[in-house]
Amino acid sequence: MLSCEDLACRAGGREIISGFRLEVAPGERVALMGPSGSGKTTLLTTLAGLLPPSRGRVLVRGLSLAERPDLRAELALVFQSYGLLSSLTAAENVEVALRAAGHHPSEAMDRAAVVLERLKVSAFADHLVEELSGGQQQRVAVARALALRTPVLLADEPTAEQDAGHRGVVLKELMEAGGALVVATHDPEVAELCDRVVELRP
Amino acid sequence: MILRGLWERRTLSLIVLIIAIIPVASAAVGPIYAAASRTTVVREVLRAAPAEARGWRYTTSGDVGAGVAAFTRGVDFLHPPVYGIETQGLLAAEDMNIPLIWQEGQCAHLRMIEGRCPQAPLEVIVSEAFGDKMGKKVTFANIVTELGGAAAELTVVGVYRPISHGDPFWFGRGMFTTVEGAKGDQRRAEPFFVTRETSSAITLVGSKRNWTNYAILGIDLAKVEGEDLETIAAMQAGAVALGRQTQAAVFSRLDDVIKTMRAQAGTLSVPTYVVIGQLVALAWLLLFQTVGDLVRARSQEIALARLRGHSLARVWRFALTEPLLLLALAFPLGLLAGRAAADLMIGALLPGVPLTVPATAPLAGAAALAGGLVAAVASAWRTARRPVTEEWRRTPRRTRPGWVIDAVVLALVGLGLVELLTAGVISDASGQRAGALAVPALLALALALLARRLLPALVRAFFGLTRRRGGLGAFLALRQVARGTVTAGSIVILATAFGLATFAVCAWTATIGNYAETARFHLGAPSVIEVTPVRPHELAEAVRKADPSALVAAPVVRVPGSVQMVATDPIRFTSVAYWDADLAAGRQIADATGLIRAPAMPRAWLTGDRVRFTVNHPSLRQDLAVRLMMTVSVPSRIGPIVVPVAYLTGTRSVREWNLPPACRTERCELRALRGELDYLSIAEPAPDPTSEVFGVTIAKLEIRQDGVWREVDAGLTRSSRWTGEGEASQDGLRLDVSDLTESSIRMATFPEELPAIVTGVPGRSPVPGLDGLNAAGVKAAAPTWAAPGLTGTGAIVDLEYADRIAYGLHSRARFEVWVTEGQAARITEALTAQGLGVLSVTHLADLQARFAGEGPGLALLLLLVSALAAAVLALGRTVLALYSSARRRRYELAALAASGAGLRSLRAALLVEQLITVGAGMLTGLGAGMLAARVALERIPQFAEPPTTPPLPFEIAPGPVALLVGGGVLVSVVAAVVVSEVLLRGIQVDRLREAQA
Amino acid sequence: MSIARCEGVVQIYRAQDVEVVALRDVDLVVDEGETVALLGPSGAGKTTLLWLLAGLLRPSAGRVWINGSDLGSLDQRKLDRVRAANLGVVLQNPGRNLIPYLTAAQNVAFAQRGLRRDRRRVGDLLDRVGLGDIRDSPAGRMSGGEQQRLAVAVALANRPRLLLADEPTSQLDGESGRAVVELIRQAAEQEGTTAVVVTHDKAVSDGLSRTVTIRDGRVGSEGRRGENLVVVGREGAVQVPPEYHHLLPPGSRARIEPLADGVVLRRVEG
Repeated sequence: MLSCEDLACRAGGREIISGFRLEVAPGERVALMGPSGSGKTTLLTTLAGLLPPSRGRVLVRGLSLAERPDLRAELALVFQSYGLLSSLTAAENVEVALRAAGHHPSEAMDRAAVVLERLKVSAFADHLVEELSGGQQQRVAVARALALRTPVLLADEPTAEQDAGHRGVVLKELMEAGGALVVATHDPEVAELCDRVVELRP
Repeated sequence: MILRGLWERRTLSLIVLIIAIIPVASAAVGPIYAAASRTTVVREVLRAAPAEARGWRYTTSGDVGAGVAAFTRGVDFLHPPVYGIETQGLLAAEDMNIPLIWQEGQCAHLRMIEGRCPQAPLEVIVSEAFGDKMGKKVTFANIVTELGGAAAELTVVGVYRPISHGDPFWFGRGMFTTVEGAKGDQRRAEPFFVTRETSSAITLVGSKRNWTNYAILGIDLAKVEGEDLETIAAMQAGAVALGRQTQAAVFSRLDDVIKTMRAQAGTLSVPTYVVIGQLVALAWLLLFQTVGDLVRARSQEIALARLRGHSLARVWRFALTEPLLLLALAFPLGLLAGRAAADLMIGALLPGVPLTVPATAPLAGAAALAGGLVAAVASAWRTARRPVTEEWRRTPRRTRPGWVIDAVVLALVGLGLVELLTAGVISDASGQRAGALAVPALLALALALLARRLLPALVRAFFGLTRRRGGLGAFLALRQVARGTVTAGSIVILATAFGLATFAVCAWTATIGNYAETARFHLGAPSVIEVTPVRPHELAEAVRKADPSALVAAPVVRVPGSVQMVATDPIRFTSVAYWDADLAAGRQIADATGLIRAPAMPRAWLTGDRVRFTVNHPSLRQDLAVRLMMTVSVPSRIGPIVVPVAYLTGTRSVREWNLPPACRTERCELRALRGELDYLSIAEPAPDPTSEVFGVTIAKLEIRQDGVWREVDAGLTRSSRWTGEGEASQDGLRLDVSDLTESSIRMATFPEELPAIVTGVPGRSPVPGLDGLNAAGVKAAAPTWAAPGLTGTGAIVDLEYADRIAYGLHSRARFEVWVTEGQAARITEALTAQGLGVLSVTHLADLQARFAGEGPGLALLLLLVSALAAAVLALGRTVLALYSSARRRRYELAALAASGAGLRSLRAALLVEQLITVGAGMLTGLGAGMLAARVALERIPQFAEPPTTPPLPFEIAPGPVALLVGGGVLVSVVAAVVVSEVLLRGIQVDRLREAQA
Repeated sequence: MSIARCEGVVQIYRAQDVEVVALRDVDLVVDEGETVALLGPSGAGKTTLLWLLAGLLRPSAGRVWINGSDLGSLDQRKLDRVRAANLGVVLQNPGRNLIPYLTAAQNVAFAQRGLRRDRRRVGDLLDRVGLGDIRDSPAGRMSGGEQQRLAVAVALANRPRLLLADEPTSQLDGESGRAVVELIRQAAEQEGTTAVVVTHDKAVSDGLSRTVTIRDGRVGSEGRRGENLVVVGREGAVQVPPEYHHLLPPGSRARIEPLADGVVLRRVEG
């Protein structure tokens, strides 16, 4: 589904990832582990097609992402810093992403409500994002990615702010999303739930 | 470390610096501009003043050099003194006192018709009135070669003509005759010019033994400045004292000028400072917002300092140093910028005026900066007091704008508006109106505060719509506007600045229109040529020769008074003068002038040396006699001259009497006849008054000229030509003389009340008449709200009537020729060719410029220029704030782009957000400005002396307002597009590299 | 002598329309020279407790003493002075502890209050965290790990009596993390610096002398020398650690059987 070979990424002036290879089959769940500073965020962002690699190619279904930017629509990314629009409510954030992806506004509203409910933030659906706690915001970010229902889901530390109860909810939704999943994490609990673990060394 | 911090936030620091420079600069501009305006006022008033009001003439019989030096000590705005000497010489032959003058550099101001300028002692030059003496020798009864010697003989070596009558060189003493080459006129005593050495070559005898030394001290208009006003006043006061204390006498008509200058300067200061105050307040607003941004940008570092436990003093110092440093830097830079800006403004608006920087300018700049100080301290306070933990919340809580502040400000604004528009805080007449200039800012601020509450609510109303359909752009933009932090501040500043600008444009166009209308009616015609005084019929004749078509020029005589009088030829007037039928109840000028025309009527001219009356009367008692008197008007004399022509006793009398000498060469006019009963016996107790009426019939009237008797056609048999206590019949003019009534009868060349075009309500007041004797009443044949040539209550009458009523010409009468557009040069030439002396030519534009150059006009100009600048600034700041806010959201917008939002949606979002914010601000400002115009326009000061007529139209020209709006819209759209593009470039996906701090 | 003491601390804050109780009835005593790890799930109140100890928050109820001074009785100035004299704080996000445009050395110097800028100590500290060779590069350009180490150095700059650190090793790999823990331990041994460290890194908690677990706003359990003991709170509240939840699930009922030195809890079915 998603693969790359001999991928290299530059960040902050130096090559932070080099010679990386990965193959993710459809529906496979891969945990990307490594300490912070090892380039997980940069790697995920590159895999999502949002950053150009300095060497190598990212392939989606065998097609080069660089040559077919439309394939980006097959990937959804949960940012480490959430990337939510501060002037919108939780529901609006999800709706905006859906509409940006081409869905009809009423369908977007319905889907957003459903996914927010699943992530246990529907009580805050009409609150501005900046009024939510860190954990709640993170769940909204996850909801946003999930709502897009893309074949590939990339998640950067999606449970960092969650307490025990909510962590389970988030992980459950991510793991049961159905598509391929690449999740960058510190948390061994997450790694255990995945099919495969890839270690990144700085 | 401070510098590193400033560099780190260099964009914001630079913006703060620029925005701090602005209030300092604007505050500094005020006093500089005011000083320059005062200079303009002083110079313009002096320029418009007559020559004898533009300086002093210092005369003394002693040492004039020392006296002048003392008088002018420390003064630098005078021309170098022009010295002269003067005395009187008695020309025995003509029995005339002739001034003998030498003035330094006199020859340059005289044109020699014949001969040359005097060079040696005992040489003189004479005016054309004495042209016959060219080449001959003249002697004076009181001038001898030496004491006890023979009469000095002075040789006439030339005949001069003055180059210009209004030349300030002569200090306007009216030394020269007004009509050159006047024939038959008694020779005016025009001066003989001598050389300086002549005074030592001759000796004066008689009552006046000494030459008078004088010096003409003219004020140099290129050097005098506004601040010299008080010096001039002091010198004038000193001049008066000098006259009392020493043997020097100083002449000047500066008193009126000084009064005018003071009044105008007075009308300048208050409006100017109101304008500057508003600008500074606006700049404070800007500064408040921006310095706040700067301090908030350091909030993280300030929080760290508090965390580390630095003392409160240190934390404050930490928070304040950057903004204070920038403010301190802004002060000198702002002063320099203000000076440069003032330089530009003065160069453009008040050409020729030098730039001086009064001490108040830096003070004003410092006061303006105080606003920035307040802003810095307030922001630092808030930041230093905020719980530190707030800083580290992932997204800080937003504070809602307080209701309290809004309510307080609105209350103050409301109070202020009520005060300004009804009673008036500043009770002085011009001051009260100057307060009206503050109305737009107050109103705009109030509406702005309302708008910043309303806009989010209004935008929210469309949330549902954009949620259900439409593009992402509108969806995002609306929410950003409603919930964003930039909106409120931007609206306030844009609305206030635009309100001010809109009002300024409205006020300016309306005022220009008022100036034009006022100038039209005050001047009367497109161009007005003022000429030296001549007889009305000579003026009319000259105009007729210069313009045979009668379509281009009209003779006009203006006499000031409590009821002004304009006397003119109605037919010519129709083609030349300004008129507004709407102000005259729909009556056109031709109709109006038709109503005031004097019908042709023969007048009884008397030219000769003797008059003879043939009078028939019933036999008079022995003790009674009738004294018959004739009233004549004698040219060049003001007032009726009563000539007792006959003393009647017995039955038929033929009496003769001498006419006044002037009538020998000039045309005198028979105006009226009067009879008085006289009691001959004195010794007896006075007899009872008799009620008898004696009819005295004047059968014939004859005049002797050059020895020949000729009958005068005085209409003695035509009853229509006489009115009064008597009647004309075929036997002659009968005058009923009695003891009880005044028996007079006058030539009916004019009615009791002249038909006139009238402005105001003269009531019973008479017009001054050409002679200034207030003898003529007027009847409002054509009333109007505004008439050409009248600046107040007044009447326009036929010059013919005015001439018939008048006895002589008053010195305050102004003689003008009104010409149509573009004809001034031609007519002026034609008039001078005929010998008329032209004093000045005033065009409509000159008068308009004069109004615009008065105090209030200058203040309004300042308002216009500065308000437009403020609007540009506010727009710039808003665009900048929108840009910065969007820039801070780069990361999340990039994330949105990553989710698939196209560039088009993002661009739309950015564009719409900016356009709504800027549009709302501008619209509010526009509304506020127009409302303010509606409410306050008629109260703002426009004239130094508000005219009583014409009624001011206060028409706001839509063009400039549309231009302002259109320009604003254009700039906003362009800026929005540019900013969106720049932002979009920044929202490239590789922004995602940066993790949000 | 206790450096830090909490008694009956309750902390409530408002979020939107809801009141959240972050800490309820927390009692804690930290003695001089101790190194305490505050463990517990996210949102349990660890950071709140740390901020209370740092005097950055005032408790809704209860009292906090730092070095014998009751923080609640101090005005702002005195509070600042107490903080200045006694505390060193490391905030959770390393970047927040630093001024990005200053160099590492300048950052440490900035934290040194007063006129005495101890250059030697600056260099010494930087060496000990392994940043000696980049002491002159701007803090903003450093990697996350370098920043975190610098933050610890900054907190120690003034020889505080109490070091409060919030997740000081979250961004670090194993080796750097161990270096930081070692630094904290050395500071405790050599300079008597007491440390309270919020963490969920096992490596950190193993390296410190005592662990306190905060669960659901309460002190649930404490551990010393590897052994984790449940703390009986006020009113006798006891928190069953998660590893035993399958034996005694939350929400179930249990019968208490007394023993000589405690009680036994037996699950009741049905």
